[in-house]
Amino acid sequence: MDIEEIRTIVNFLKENDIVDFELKRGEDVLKLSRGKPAAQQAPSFPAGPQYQPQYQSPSSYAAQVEPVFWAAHQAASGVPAPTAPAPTAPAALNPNLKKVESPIVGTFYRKSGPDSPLFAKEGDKVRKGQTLCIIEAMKVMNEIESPCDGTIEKVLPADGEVIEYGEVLFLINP
Amino acid sequence: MSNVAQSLTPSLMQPLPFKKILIANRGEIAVRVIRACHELGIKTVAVHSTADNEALHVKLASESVCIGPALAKDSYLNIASIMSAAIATRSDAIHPGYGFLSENAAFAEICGSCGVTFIGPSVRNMRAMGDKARARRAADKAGVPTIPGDSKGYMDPAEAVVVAKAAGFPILLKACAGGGGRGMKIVENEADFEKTFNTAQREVTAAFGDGHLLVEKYLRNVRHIEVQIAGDNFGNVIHLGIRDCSVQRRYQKIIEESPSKGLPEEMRQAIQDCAVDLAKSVGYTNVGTMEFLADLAAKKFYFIEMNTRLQVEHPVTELVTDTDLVKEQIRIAAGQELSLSQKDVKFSGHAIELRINAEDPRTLVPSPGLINSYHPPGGNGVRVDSALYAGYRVQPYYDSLIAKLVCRARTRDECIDKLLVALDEYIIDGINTNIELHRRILRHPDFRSGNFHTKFLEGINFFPEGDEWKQKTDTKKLTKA
Repeated sequence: MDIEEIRTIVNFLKENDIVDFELKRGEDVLKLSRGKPAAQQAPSFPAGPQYQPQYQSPSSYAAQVEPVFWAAHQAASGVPAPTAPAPTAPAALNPNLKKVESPIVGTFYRKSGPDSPLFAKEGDKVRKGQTLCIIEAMKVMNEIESPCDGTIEKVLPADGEVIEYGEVLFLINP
Repeated sequence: MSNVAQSLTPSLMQPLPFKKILIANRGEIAVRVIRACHELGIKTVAVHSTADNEALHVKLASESVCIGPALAKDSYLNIASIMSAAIATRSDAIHPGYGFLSENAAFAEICGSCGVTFIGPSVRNMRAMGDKARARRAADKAGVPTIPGDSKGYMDPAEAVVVAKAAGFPILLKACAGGGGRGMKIVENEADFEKTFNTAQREVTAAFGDGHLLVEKYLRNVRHIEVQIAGDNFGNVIHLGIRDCSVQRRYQKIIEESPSKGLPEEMRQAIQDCAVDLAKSVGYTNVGTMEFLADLAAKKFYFIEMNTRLQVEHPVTELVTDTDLVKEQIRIAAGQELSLSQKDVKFSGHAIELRINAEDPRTLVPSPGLINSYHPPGGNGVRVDSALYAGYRVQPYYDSLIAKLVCRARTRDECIDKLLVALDEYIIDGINTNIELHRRILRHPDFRSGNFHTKFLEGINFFPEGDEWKQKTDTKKLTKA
C-alpha cells in the first residue's frame, strides 16, 4: 500500500464523513480513525443586562404605575416566564403518563375565581373533556380540557405563572 | 467619536419609560435589538417558535416565551400569541424588527389598544406609506418625482393599457398590495400587454389576495438609491444619507453600500432633500427608508416606495454616520427628541454590507443544516451581525439570511479589500453559503469601477465552471490543513 492509495482513502473518508475505517489485504492491515472535533458547546450567557449603563438607570425613577389592565389580576403571583421549557424529569419517571400541553401563550389559573375551588389537583380522578385549568390570553379565558380519563399525577405550573406554547401543564395517569 | 459627545444632550440623561421590551422577531435582527436594549439597561423578552428553542436570541434575552410551532404563520406572524406573551410578561413595548409584522398596521394598532408601545411609525404613517399607490400619491403631492405611470391600482387591462401607452413602453406591472418583487412583470410592447397583465394579476391575487396592479414605465440601467429617514414626535425629520442597493438578484438585495459610487453630488443632495420633504409632508415618525431609482445617464431620479420600518442594511448607515439606529428607534418611541439635528449628521468613510445566505451560491437552492464549525472575521472596521454559533442548526422554515458582514474603511477600495480578506477568514462549515458568490462579485472589475445597475448580477455568469467550483475551494482548505 503506497502513500497515494492511503491519501485517496483518507479523502474518501473525509468526503463521506466516515470516522473509523479498517482494511485488511493479505498480511497488511490499515486502520484509520478520524478524530471528531470536540463537541461544540452552545454559548450560554447570564440573563442580561448585567452591566448597568451610566446614562440610563431604570431603578432611579419612580415606581411605575401598573396599567389598569392588570388590576384584575392583583392576586396573581406574577412569576416571570421561565427561560427554558418545562422540566422533562417527571415524564422520565413513567413513559405512560399523558402530558397535557398548552396550545397557547398566556397565564395559568387553577381556579375560575379567587374564591372558587381548584379545577384539578394531584390525585384527583378526571374524565375526558373535563376542565383542568384556565389559560388566560388577552382577557379571554381559555378552558383547557383533559384529553383522557385518568388521575392527575402532577400539576406543573404555579397559579398565575406565564405559560409558553407547548409547555407541559399536567401529567395524567390514564 | 464627536457624535457621541454631541448626543449627550439633557434629554438622554432622563431614564426611558421602558423597563422591558419584547422582540417580535428572530435571527440576526432579534440579536441586534436585544443588544441595543441591554445597552440601554432595558430587559428583553425573546419570543420564539419550537424550531428556535436553541436560537441565539433566546439565549441572550432576559426571558423567553415559546409562542408556537415552527411555521411563521403559527408563531412569528401569530399576533394573538405575541400579544399574549407581551401582556403576560408585562412588556412595555414591542420591537418588530424587519419583515414579519413590522409593516403590519393592524398589529401596530392592536399593540396600542393593549397598552404596549409599538416601536416604529404610527399606524397612520404605516397605512399612508405602506400602500404603494397611496405612497406614490403622497410623493406626487409633495412634488417628489415619481416614475411615469400613475398611482391607481388597475383590475382591467383595457383601462391599464391607456396609462401604459401614455408612460411609454417598456412597462412594469407591480402588485399594489405586496412587495419583495413578487408578481412583477415587464411588458415590452403593446401587443403583449393584455396577456401579461392577466398572468400578473393571477399571480398577485394568489400571493397577496389582491389583484390590483400598478402600471409604470420600466426603467433600464438604473441604480437603487435609498434614503435613511428618522423623525420624532415633535416634527423633527432628518436624513442620515443614502445607500446604494443596486446589486440584487431576483429583486433581493445582496450588497448594499454608502455612499454610492458614481452618483453625482447634486443628485444625492436632491434625493435626500426629496426624502425629507416627503417624510415631513406625511408627518412621518420613527425610522424609515425612502426608495428611489436613479438614472445616472439622464440625471433623473424617481421615488418608488417607502419602507416604514428598520431595514436589513441599516448597519451601512450606522458605520458611515457613527449612529445607533435601533437605540434611536427606542428613544423616539419613548417620546424623546431625535438625538441629532440635520447639521449634526456627519458622513465619514465608506461602508459595504454583504448579505450572507444559507444557500448554494450558484443555484440559490437553500441550505439549512447543522453548523459544525463557526469562526467569524473581526478586526479594524469589520462588523458581523449574525445569530450563528458553532453547533447551531439553521432551520428550513425561515428566510435564508444568516449573517451580515459589514466593513468600513476610509475609501471604497480599502473597504472592498477588507471584505475580501474578511471573507477568507470567515468559516461557516456544515452548510452552503453564498460567500463564494460575494468573492466573485467583489473581484469583478465592474463592481470595483462602479459600472453597475440593478440588473448587473443577472447579466453575468459568475460560475462559468458550473458545479466544479466546489472542488476548487475544498482543495484549498485541505492543502492548508
